[in-house]
Amino acid sequence: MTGDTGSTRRGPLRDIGWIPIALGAAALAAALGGRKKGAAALALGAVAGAGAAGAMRGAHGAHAKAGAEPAVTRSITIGKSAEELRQRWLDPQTLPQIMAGFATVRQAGAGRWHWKLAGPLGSACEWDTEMVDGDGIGWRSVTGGAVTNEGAVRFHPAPAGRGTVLTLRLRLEPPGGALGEWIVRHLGATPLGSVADGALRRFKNLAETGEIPTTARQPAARADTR
Amino acid sequence: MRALYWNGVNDLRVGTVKDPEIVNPHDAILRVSLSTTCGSDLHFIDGYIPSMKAGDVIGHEFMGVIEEVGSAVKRVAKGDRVVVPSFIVCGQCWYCQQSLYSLCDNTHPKPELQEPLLGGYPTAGIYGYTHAFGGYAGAHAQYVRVPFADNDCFKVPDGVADETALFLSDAAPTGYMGADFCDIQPGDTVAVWGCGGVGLMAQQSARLMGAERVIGIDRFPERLRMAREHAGSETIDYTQVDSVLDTLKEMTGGRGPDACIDAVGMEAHGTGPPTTS
Repeated sequence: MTGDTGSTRRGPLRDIGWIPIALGAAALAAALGGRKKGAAALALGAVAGAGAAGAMRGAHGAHAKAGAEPAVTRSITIGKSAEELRQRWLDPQTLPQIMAGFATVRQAGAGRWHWKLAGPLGSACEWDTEMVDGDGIGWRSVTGGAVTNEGAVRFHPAPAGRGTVLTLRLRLEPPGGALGEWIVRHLGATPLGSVADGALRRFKNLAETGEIPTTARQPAARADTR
Repeated sequence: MRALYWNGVNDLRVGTVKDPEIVNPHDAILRVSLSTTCGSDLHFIDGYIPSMKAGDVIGHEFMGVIEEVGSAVKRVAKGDRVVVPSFIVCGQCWYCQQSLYSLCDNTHPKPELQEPLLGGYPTAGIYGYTHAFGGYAGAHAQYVRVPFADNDCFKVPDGVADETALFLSDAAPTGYMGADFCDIQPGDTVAVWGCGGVGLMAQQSARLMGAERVIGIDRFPERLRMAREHAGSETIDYTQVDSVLDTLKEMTGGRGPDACIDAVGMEAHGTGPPTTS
């Protein structure tokens, strides 16, 4: 959690101070006979007590002004071996899926990726990255592009056989000018933190289950059904 | 298909929406045979729990027959009659492996909406239960998409009627878990506040787990009657006694109950100090 540039969250729920837990017992009862009841009870207590914690959101994390060091480091624990995760990350289908929502990514040759960040009024910010040698998996933008982008993924064993801790370091320096300003504004005060969190979460989803949860194409009585 | 959807606070409508489809490889499509209302639905219907969107199909307690399965589904197949819990769980993550299924962290499509509100960690996704809980379309509809069908579809044996199996979706396990927490010993008396659906399930579960006596507390005569007839409980109508505590003590030789279960829940009216709402 270093290099966080703030903790303001974006999204439709940002004005909601708390959420009461409706399903209460039902939530954990759905465990249908859990074997760690003490842990379940603690978890329920933690969830039920989270209203207050929710109200305090924003009180955690480093608060740096936008425009500070444009890099973040985030970690996630995934219940797979480092080798499985390495292969999954290098699968050509992975990066486009886990970066969806941030940028459109497509492979552009061996170890090479083309990134496209859509801007307002049809504008776009595009760059290419290439793999770099080192510990874990790394990439950086090729010289001459509008954006400086670097990423590195490292794998460390989690304790007691609980899988692998994956650490992602992400660096993104937007271009100058109006488009760069728009990107900074569009991504909000924690651009890279959210990008890294989302990418890691989707990677965990993919690695552990083979799919990313979605509400796409579902029924609803409105145009945008998500 | 036809579906019941939330159109706004205290405004539910039946309308025609598109049919669900297989989106992910572990999905199944269920033809809903029965879908029932949960007390928890009241909280978003009346706006107490936010983050509904107009047009959301509701319903999280249901069963049905599998119509279609995705490419990775192995344990269930078209034609299976199944009951489905409210929570969508992956079966693979650390939480699922600890049997803490409702905390599964692989099924919430929008955890960034929930984490800041719940102290930093998401719950599993829930059918038809606000976007803070995943925004999945619910089951008060002709068809519903069931992600991770291998984990969430429980086959119903022949000879068990739909009307009996349905409550295994939510009400029965909820009441069962309340009783399970009580660590009931032979000879115990268990008091259950509330004789609604979950309260009745808790009372019956307490009896199953060996409670000597079960006492149901409510004020509605029809609920109290059901507690007596279906769960074999003794009952207290709290509007007819000066003190529930004194009554319980008198019923238990001065000891009081060995365990108590609150099956009333939030947003119910109470007899305690007035609240600010």
